[in-house]
Amino acid sequence: METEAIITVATLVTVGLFVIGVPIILCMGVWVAATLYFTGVFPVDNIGLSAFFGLKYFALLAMPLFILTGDLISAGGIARRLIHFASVSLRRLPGKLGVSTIAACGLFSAISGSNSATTAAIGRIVIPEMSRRNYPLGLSAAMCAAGGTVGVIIPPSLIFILYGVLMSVSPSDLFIAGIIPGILMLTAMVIVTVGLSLFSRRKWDNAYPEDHDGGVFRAAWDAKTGFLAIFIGLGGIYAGIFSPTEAAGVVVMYCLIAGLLFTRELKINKLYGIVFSSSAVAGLIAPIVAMAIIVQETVTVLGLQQSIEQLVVGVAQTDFQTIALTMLLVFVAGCVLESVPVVIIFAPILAPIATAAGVDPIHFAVIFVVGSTIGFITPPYGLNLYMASGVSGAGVLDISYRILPYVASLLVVWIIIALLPELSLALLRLF
Amino acid sequence: MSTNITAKGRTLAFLKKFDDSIEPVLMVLFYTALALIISIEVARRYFMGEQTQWGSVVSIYCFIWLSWLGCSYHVKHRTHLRFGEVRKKFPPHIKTACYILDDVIWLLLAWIVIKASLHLIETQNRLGNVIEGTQSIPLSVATAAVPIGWLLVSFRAVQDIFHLVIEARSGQAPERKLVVID
Repeated sequence: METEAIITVATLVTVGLFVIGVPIILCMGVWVAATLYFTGVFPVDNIGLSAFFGLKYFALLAMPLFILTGDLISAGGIARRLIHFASVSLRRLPGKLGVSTIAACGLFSAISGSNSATTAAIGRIVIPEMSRRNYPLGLSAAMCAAGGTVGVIIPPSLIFILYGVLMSVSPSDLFIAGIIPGILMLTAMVIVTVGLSLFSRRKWDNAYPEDHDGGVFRAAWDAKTGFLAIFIGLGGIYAGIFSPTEAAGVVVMYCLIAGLLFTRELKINKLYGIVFSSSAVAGLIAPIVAMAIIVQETVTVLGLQQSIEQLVVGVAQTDFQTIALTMLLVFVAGCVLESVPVVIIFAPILAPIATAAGVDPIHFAVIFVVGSTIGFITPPYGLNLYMASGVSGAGVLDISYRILPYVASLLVVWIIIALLPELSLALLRLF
Repeated sequence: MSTNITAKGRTLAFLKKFDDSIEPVLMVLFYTALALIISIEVARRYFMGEQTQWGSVVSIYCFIWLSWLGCSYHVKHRTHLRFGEVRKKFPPHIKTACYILDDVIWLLLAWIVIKASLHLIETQNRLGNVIEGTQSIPLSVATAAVPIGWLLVSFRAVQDIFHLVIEARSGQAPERKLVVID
């Protein structure tokens, strides 16, 4: 059989397996095993080697560490204090708890670099409170899922670290480039929340007319442990004391100490459960990363990279269309895959195409990561939708429907980010 | 007679406990080790101006152990990430068949991975490879994460097939969460 026919059949079988609910890692494994076995481009045994060498990147260690940071911030009461600060600061806006949730996601993202960790940590705290204040459950979950998208855009960011390592771009530069786009995304989501609040027939926040004790400064002082975590993480990176991956480890230790000694809400007897729940999430994503690496190698050896490149260049008549097409590919990939495999498989294919079309590599990295993170909340396989569903108990379909205004606003921001490179590059020029 | 029953009960209880906690305990152990190593190494470099050569390498190997033990844990609980919207609408016997298909694919992949990784270990041992920065710890201690992790994956897949058959015979539908992220 011709190579093209083998790849087509393997891809169709894989899509079939995906649709009937076979785990993503197995779908990838079947595609690679079938393609390698029948084309013989290199031995099937490489799958086994990738299980070891595919995970041998120091940058990948940021992933389990960011997940643990999220759980420690949550259990140590740091997240609750940040939410309180956001809630007091934004109490005059309509839909104040919803708006505070989005803002708290932004603050949380400045400590943790993972979007699912952000959604889970903020969701666990605010969703019960939002239900008490008359917010529809599905909408509360949708707000947390949407807010979580900035987890990988506001620095630090696991995905920027990975992208930087894979594409030889400085993760620290990518962090700076993500600041303005991250703030824009937050602003767009705040506007949507205010709009939804104004047009909602249900009166949100009415159950508790005013219950914020103290002012903004008092709330900011209470949240000092959270601000210190941001300062230690980002300050350490830009002072050259540690690398972005090491920063994740340092912040884990800080959050542990802060939870045990400063806030005193973290209990020693709860630590095993916290570490285990974080390790379970890491154990879910890391094997997919190993499999994604062998998929990427197979794609490269088979020359699919060039085929996709030729397809994009053939279809697109102008540089503008080329970028639009690469953005579409990133978005579609983000809808069906986890962010880490999207970066591993598609960044090496699409970044050279974008660079050839005249896009700055750092600007494209931002476009790429923002696109993949929007895919993170887009059905059918937006992981954050499932995460928010798990945390809230709301149905995935209900969340998928209620999140649509947020997806639409983020798509608009994404296009603006793509059209205006300065939004990503201006701060870099300043520093 | 009653002593025998008690002893058998204790053994079964121990096996059940072992079955439930083998992956979680090891995952927590490796997770804690990697977080501690990274932060201690940064602290040593900042405050004492020194750093071990093995620190970053060993933390990566802890991550590899954590990954494949975690993989096995999720096979046991059928909680690997999947698009489950279509499957959950299937009638029970089709659902059971789908879960068995998952397990069969796990076993096929496990066979490929274990074979390749054992060959890798054999090569590393023959060449006398040691973990970077250590004098004597064989590299195969780290590489063993792959065959051991996948051996556990195979064991969990076989175990799952038994559970599925038992569930099907008793008329139970194989209900599982779509994802475990908690």
